[in-house]
This record gives sequence, structure tokens and C-alpha cells, in this order.
Amino acid sequence: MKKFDFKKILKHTEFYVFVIIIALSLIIQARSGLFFANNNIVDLLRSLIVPSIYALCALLAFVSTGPDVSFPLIAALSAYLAIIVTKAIGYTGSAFLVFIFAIIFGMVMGALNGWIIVKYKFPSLIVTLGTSSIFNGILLGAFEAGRMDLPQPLERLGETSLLTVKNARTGLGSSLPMTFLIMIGLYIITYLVLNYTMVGRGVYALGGDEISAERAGFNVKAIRFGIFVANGAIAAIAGVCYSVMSMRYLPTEYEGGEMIVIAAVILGGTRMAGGVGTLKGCILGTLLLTMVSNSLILVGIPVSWQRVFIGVIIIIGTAISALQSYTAGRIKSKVKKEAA
Amino acid sequence: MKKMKKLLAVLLTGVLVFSLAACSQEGGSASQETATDGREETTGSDSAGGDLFDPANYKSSKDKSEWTIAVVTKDNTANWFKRMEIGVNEFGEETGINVIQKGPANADAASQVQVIDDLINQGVDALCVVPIDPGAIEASLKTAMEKGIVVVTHEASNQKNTLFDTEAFTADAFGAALMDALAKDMGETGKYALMVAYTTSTTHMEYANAQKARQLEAYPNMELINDGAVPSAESEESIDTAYERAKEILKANPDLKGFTGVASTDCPGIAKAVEELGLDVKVVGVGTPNEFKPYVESGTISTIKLWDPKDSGYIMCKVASMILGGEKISEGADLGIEGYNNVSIVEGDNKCIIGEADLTITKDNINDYDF
Repeated sequence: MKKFDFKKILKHTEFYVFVIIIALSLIIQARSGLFFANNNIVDLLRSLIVPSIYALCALLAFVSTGPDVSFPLIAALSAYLAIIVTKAIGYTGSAFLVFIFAIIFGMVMGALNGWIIVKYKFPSLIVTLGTSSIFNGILLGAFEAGRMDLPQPLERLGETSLLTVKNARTGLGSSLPMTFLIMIGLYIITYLVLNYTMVGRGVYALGGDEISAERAGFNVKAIRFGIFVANGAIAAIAGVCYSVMSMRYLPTEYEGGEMIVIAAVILGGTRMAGGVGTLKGCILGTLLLTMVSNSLILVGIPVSWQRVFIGVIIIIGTAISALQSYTAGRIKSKVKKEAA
Repeated sequence: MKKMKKLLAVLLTGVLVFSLAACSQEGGSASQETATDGREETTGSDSAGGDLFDPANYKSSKDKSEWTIAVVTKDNTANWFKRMEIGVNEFGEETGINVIQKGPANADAASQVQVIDDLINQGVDALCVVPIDPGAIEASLKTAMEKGIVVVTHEASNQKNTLFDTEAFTADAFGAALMDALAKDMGETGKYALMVAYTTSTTHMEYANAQKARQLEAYPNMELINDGAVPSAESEESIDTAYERAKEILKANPDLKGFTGVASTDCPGIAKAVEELGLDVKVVGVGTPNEFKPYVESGTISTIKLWDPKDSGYIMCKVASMILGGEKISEGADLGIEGYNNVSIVEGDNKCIIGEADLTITKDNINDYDF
């Protein structure tokens, strides 16, 4: 049993994000009286599902290489292809296979990212910006994707819910979709891989210092390529989840989802320079931003001020984590000087 | 010291990225605007001033068969604009004029500017635009007109750089009609909420304001939530966002009786939330019959108000072709299809051609319309 060390906790960005979350939820509760209602919590968890799966892509990319902005378009295109294929072969069995289709397409797209980034050592931001533009063009130009109904397996998945609650006071209900389990599963798998496998340690080592990682015996190229392939798979899962939750495939609604997710991940303490970032921070950052954007109407903030409010939260949250790493950096250099 | 500098640089980049993230939507269109503004300055000097807005100056010397009329939509994947394309193509077949319809890859103002600029460079004879954000495309449209390209718009009564804006009806008349339908469905009493796509969508805001004005004037027992703030929520052109925002509004106002949505994404989201929560809320809004059919049949969406985008597409092309042919369009003109047989022209920010072409669709007649 580890000793509970409060001082150590104070050094973690995640702690401050957690404090902000608690403070904000109390404020929202005080102003609207609705925040801690069971149906509101379930609604919040529902809204959290897709962004938090996206957040995994952003986290893995930041920790190992740099920003990845292609995940919403990989999600859109692979979900589209999976749905089209499922409809074409008239498959009506389990939704599991539809996810597998999407994952395969997503991995191919992720492999394209990974191949260009590893082979030519281009910055990941530029490469993924380029590929997302290509995927978008393929989706809306070549395939002329339109809004469409889902194939049977996904429709069935969308109709089943994990949990249904009803608020005793207002009589309003809310249900949590099955996709919530998928999100939990993905977090558990990522946690295990990152913390208990050599590859997982390699992801962090690679982002911290590429040359040292190579000398320590990690196959830098393979790990980096693998990260982007995995990102493609995760994005594809998010894409299918989104369509399952809205019960329709909506091609134009994916694009633009990356910015708020990247902001959330950085808020949660992931360092843009690489090597640092935790799943805890990732989920807390996403929770904070989802909570804010989902509660502004409850609190009664006018529509035009809502974006201002979200911007302020992002900057305050980041300022705290930035200050954190700044002081950490100062202590480190001080130690170095003393040693010399 | 060097390390500190590096860290500082990383931090600054971080802050930069977040400020971008916070206002990515505005940021995108704003930078586009400044870019096009720059070009406006360089070409602005040789513009002929007031003559730019005289349709008579746009008479084409080319033969009719050589004209190209380009229609630019908000989003070509939407059923609405697919229906518009039917009207556009119908016009092309009837007259033998070359027509094309294009839309941006993403439904955002910056991408639409790009589509318009590309078409200007391709040298089309007329541009018929359904703007996402009229302000963002002003400069591009001005450039087009300076090059002698006929510019006609639809759903943009405040667009300055256009020869004619075309509307199926006035925003006030349509907003009032929406409110009349909602009032009738909810028995003229109770709380209601308004949803638009973006607060920057001019027409949506005009509908919303007209609805509120009509309610204040005619239905004293009805009340707009949030002390009458217009709108109550933004759907950001997304069904899922509409659903989430509607749910929030319903949670905060459990006694809500009516909801209107003016973008095609609004009502399905609102109706999904209402059905899921098991509430008795009447939903009235703008959208296509096919997309709304399940909710209209289940009774959650009680009335659809709309105009036929097929006719709007046809009329834009018709107006553009009349200008290219040197024909004058005046008050009371007959543009050849029903609802536009006796148009009125209103001069505001631009000259607006207004028809009387609104449609009311309920459970009873929804099967008569297939789009």
C-alpha cells in the first residue's frame, strides 16, 4: 500500500482539473438545481462517450509524436465504409462485425498517416491535416456520402440501452447507450498496454527522447507506425459509436471535432512536446469541457456568451497546467546547476 | 536559461493553439475574410461605383447556349439542396442554358468562399448563391460583380453585393406563419423555445425574431423561455447537438409546451429528445418531409412549414438568365412558376424578389411531397 502523499498529488495537473470540475459542478448545481440529478449525470456520460474515445487518439499521438488532427475524418470515412459494406452484403448479425469492418478501414487510413510520418519524418500535424483533407474529399466528393439510415445490426445496438434512469422529481428520463461500455473497454485496454507492456513504455520513451529510446533498444519506427495504426482503429470505433448514438449516419457532423478534444487532452496535463500524459488527465479534461458545454443552457447563459465561456475555461485550465510544467522545469534546471 | 526559453516557446504555442480551439469556427472565417478583404482593396479602385448594382449593365453579348449559370449551396449532401438541384436542372433542360450546382466540402463559411472563388476563376456568367454566412462572402461576390458576373442570392436579405436576393416569402411573414402554426398546435398557451443553426445565420435569426414578435402581438398567454432571449439554443447544423441542447432546455424547463427549429437539423434532434423524455411538447419547424416523416407520423412534429427548394433553385437561375438576357424585373413580374406569378420587390440592403410560396405540411398531406 502506497502512502497517501498529499504534496505529490499537488504536483499533478490532474488534481487541479479535478478541483475545477468539482467547483464548476457545485456552481452549476447552485444556479440550476439540476446538475446532480440522475438524468443529468446520465446525459453527461452519454455526451462524454465520443469525445473521450477521440481523446485517446489525441493522447497517444501527443505522447509519442505530436498532434494528430485526422481522427474525426478517419471516424467519418471508416464508419461510412463499414455501413456501406454491411448494407451491401445484407449482413444482419451482430454489430461486432460492423465494428471490425470499420476498424480495418480505420487501420488502413491510420497506416497511411504512420507510413508518411515515419518514412519521411514529416511533422505529424501537417501530415494529418493533409490526410484529413483527403479523407474528407473522398467521403463527400468521391462517395458523395449523404445522411442515411443505419444497417440492422447498428440499429439494434442503438435501441438497446445499458441503463435507464428517471428523475423522481421532474419525471424526466435518460438512458445510457451501450457504446459507454465500448469506451470503458478502450480505456482499460489502453491503460494495460501503456502501463504493463514494453511497447507501452516505449510510447512514452519515444516521446520523451527519441534517440535515448532508440539506444535503449526500442524499435522507434515500428512503435510510431503502430501508434498511428492504433489511432485509426480507435477513431473508427468512435465513428461507429457516433452513428449508433444518433441512430443515423451524418457525414458532415464529424469534421471539426478535433479542436475541442485536443484542448481537453492538453487541459488534462498532456504535454504538447511529448513524453508526458495520462489517461486520468485525458478523461478529466474531456469531462471538464463536455460538462461546461453541456451545462451552459442549464445555467441560463445566453447563446452568444456560451463560446466565450468555453474559451475562458480552456485558457484558465491550460494556464494552470502550463504553470505546473513551468515550475517543474525550473526546479529541474536548478537541480542541474547545483549538481554542476 | 536556454531551457527556460524553450519551455516558454512551447507554452506560447500552447496558448495559441487553445485560443484557436476556442474560436475555431470564427477564426476560420475571419482569416478568410481578411484575406479576401485584402484583394478587395487592390481591385476596388477600378470599380464603377453605383453602376455595379444596375442589372442592365450585366446584359450578356454571348449567345444563350454559351452561358453558364453556377448555383452554390451550403451543403450539397443535404436532401434540401438535392431537391434544389432538381429545380436547377429542370431550368437547364427547359432553356438549354448550361447550369451547374456546387457546394462546399464542409458546411462552413470559409469553404464556401473557396467554392465561389474557384467558380469566379472558371469564368462562369452567373453565380446563384445560398450563403452560409453572408458577411463572409461579401468580398468574393463584389469581385465577381466587378468582373461582370451576375450575382443572385437566396435566403440572404442582408447580402449587400448581390443584384437580387430571391425569397419565397418575407422572413417576417414566414416567422409569423411558424408562430401561428405553433400557437394553433399548443392551444395558444404555455412556454415555448426557439432553436436556430447559428446566431450568425441571418434568415434563421429573422425567423426567430419574427416568431417572437408575432407571439407578443397575438398570443399573450404564450411565453418564450429565458426571459425572451432569442434564440434559446444553437444546433450548429448538427442533429446530435440539436438533440443535446433540446434535452438541456427540456430539463431546465419541464413545463415547456412548444419548440420551434428553423434549420433542417433542428427538429429531428428536438423531436428525438421530446420522444425520449416522454413529454408532450409540440414541435414545429422547417425541414424536408422525407427526413421528418417518422416524427410527423408519430405526432411529435406537429407541423412543417417550408418552401420548395426546387422552386427556389429554378427561380435563382431564372432571375440570373433574365438579367443576362437584358430583361427587366419589376414589381408584379411573373417568373413563370406557381407562387412567383406576382412577385414583390423590396429594397433594403439589396433588392429582394419576394414570392408567396410557403407550404404547410402536416400528417394529412405529408405523403404528397417526396423530397
